[in-house]
Amino acid sequence: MPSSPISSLEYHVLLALAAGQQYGYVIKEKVNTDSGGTLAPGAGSLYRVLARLIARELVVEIEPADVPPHPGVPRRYYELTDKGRVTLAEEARRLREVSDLARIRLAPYGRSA
Amino acid sequence: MRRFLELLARAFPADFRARFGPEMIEQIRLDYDREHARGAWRALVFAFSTSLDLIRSGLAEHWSPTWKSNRDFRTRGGGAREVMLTHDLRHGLRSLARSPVFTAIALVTLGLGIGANTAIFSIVNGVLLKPLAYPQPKELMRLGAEYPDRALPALSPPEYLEYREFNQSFAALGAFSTGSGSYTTGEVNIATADRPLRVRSISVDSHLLQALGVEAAQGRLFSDEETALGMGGLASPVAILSHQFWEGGFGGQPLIGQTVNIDGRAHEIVGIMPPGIDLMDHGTQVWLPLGLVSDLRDNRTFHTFGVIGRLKDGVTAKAAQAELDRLLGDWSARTGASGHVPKHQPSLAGEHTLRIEPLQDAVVGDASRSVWLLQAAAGFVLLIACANLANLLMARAETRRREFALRAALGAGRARLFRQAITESAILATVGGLLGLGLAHAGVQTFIRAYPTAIPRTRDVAIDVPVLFFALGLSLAVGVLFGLAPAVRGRTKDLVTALKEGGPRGASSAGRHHVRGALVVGEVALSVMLVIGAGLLIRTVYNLQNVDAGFDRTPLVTFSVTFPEPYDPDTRAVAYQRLLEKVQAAPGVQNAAFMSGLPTHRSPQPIRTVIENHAGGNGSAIELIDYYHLIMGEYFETMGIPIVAGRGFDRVDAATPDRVVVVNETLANRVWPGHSALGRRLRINYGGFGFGGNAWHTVVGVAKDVRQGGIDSDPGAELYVSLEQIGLAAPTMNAVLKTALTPAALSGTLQRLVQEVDPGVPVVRVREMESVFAESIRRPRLLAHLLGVFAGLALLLAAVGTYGVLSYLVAERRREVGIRIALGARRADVFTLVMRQGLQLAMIGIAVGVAGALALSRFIASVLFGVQPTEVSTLGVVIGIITLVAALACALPAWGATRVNPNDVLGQD
Repeated sequence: MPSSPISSLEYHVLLALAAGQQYGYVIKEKVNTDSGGTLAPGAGSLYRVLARLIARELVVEIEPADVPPHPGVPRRYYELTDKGRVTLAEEARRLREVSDLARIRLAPYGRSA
Repeated sequence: MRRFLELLARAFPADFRARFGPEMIEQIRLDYDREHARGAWRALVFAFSTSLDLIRSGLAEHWSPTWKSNRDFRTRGGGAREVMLTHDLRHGLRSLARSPVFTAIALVTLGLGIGANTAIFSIVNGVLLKPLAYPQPKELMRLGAEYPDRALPALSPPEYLEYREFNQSFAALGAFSTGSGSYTTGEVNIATADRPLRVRSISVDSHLLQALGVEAAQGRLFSDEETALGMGGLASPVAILSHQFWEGGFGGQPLIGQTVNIDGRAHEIVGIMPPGIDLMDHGTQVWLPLGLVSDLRDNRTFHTFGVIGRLKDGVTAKAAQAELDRLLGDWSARTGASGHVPKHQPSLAGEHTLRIEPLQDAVVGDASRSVWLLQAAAGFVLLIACANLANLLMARAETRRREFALRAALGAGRARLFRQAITESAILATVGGLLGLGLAHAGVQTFIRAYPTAIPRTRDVAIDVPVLFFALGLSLAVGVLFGLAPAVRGRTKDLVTALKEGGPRGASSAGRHHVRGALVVGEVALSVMLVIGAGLLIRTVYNLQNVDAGFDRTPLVTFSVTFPEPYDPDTRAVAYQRLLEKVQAAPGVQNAAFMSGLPTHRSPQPIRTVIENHAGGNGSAIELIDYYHLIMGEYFETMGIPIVAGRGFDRVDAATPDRVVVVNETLANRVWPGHSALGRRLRINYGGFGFGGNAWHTVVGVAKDVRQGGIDSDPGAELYVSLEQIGLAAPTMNAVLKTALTPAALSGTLQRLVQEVDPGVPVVRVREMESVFAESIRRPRLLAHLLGVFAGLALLLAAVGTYGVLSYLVAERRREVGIRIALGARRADVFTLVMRQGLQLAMIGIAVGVAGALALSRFIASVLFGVQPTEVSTLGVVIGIITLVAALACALPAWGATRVNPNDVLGQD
């Protein structure tokens, strides 16, 4: 089985962006929701992950056409690149395979994964 | 908040910060607001964990950059380092979990040290460091009067007006007043929807509000016309409410333009202050315009105005004082006044000068010494905790020498082992810091509840951002610094030796023994100093509590009422008479009286009083009397104040035209030394009670001195005038009841009786006289309590530290002990050997501690009463306590040493 090229937090950031372009605060909220509350990254951790994903060309910063007016600093929006989508899909497949394996091994005990 | 986050963001490299910094800060700000809305504790925990995340991520970004435009992520292997950091964290957590006793002791030690210091720093920050809540607070100065023989900072109206005219230093200068000083005012009756309340008030002129630079949150502030002095009558019927009172007392409903009954008069509410605005830490709920009856406007002896000004741009406090000194040189010539003018260098009793000081210093007063004393004591506790932590970590490093040697043999580099040790220390620091923060939060809440008025600005004491920063910095510094020491000392070149010697059996170097011994000596020394300080303060409180205040306070209950306008002095006197008769007839009340002042809480208000046939120190017939006291009912009998000569007041006095007065011993001895005061005459100035006129009074009795101004202050010269005789009453009077009933049992009855006289008058501060007395010594009590807690903590930590070090030494020398016993040594000899080793360290520590306490004694002397810092009996008791605690701490390991079985020890070889 190939080893995972991305961490759990990186996976969830990609997953959050798979829903469409987002800015940092919403990405954080989605990560928390999608992970069932198990991941609650601090700002420092989250933006390091974003930086790493940008450097790996899995995520890119964009300038969306219609940004609603809002208080505070200007928002920066991010979206998945094609490479990011492929990486996400591969990781999702790998996790599915791992999950299937767990289900098979737990079946004799009457427990489901 | 933003500045604090920007500071933390500096943990990141500059290019990362430039790219992602604003987004990170904005995200944290939004999350903080959300957590803050859920509660203060959640906000605290969020702030702490976010701070640590920023620091950790920033350092990780330096180590393993993710954002460098010309760098290829894969070739730098950044991900691998990130994985290593996570691995180090997991390894550290597992390692700590495997040593639960060590971890628990380390966390509790850290938590106590950091908690104590964070709690006290929140007091230091709130009381001393946080600027006042006005724009450019450093420009605000207070102008006060200074007397050679007394403390009385208020100015007279003519002085205030003259200085406003003469000075060139202040852009704005204004006056305020909380009352005439003869009464416990600074309060007014106010009618709300439910019931009448008594609230804290302050009277100000428009110039003072301009000087403060505040703007109304709603409505407006007072106009110049509304606060013009010498209006010849009552102050303008307008008022401004504090934000807190508007929200709490009136439910935050629209009030601008509405009228509210204040002291019996309808007042229009013209404004609401912004949140947090107060004056001189008064706890102001209602701001009223400053007014002054015409015949007091030119009264130079009527010192009732506090004066605050804002310096002009470019003018320093020193320059303003220099200008004031020049003005003082020719004040008489400028004003044409000859009596009671301020002088540059007053020399005679009753003369005074004027001085400028920063407003913040005036608000804090002499509390700074007490606060710094507490911070120093908390610092001592932290040092002891650090010494314990160092000993613990060194012992742990010793036991893990074999583990580290094995890992080094398997290829772990020194940097890796070093990093893992630091990570463990950082985990301890984080969790210990959080624990300390929790303790600090609880401690601060307890302090504010127990001692709300012991020191000024307690409303500004809170666990806020600077305090969080302090706690974070302290826990990281302590945890990481003390984690470094054992990590730095570990050397892989002793690999073979470490592997051969094994774990705990390996002997440490003599150097480490000396370090441990020195740490124990240091802990004991610091404990000795703290316990001596606590002991002296406990003696101080004991002395203060046993000072003869001049009256019998134990069976007394007191309360306060105010009959404001439209009552005048005559009708007020009738109202008080009616109330006194009702109270005296109430079930459970043995005796009752009314008095204008409240003993131990009064400020001296010197009033110039003419004495018949008297030539004082300067040949004048005028003496300054510190306290004028208006009383009614059987005052002396109720209060238990002995009459040492002559008599008290009689019912027949009310019917005779000849006015009588009772003086106290101090007045009698000062004015008529060596002679009887009975039959002498004084012309009582009724301005001292707030009425006009004066009249000759004959002395019919001399009462024992009562410490009106506080337990630790001189009684001062005092005279008593009978309200029944002069038929005039002050707006506010304090009742005193001799009763076995508690305030709670009496409260309902008293409310009902007062309402029968006037339904619009509230009854306030129903309490035992004992609590009035306790409040007058609240600061020494606070110091004694807190220092006692710190001393107890210090003793506990030092005992644990001593026990720990000695246990470790015994464990190290187990083999030696086993051999000694095998060769015939008695177990009692072994016990003595270990005890001697431990007590030697303790004795050295005690000697160093006593020397340290003596060296630092002058810093504590100013807060003591009736005891010297070098008092032998206190030192003796402390030495005895420390020796006993040290002996107990040594006894357990010594006893353990006697249980060593030589067969087990020798069998291991």
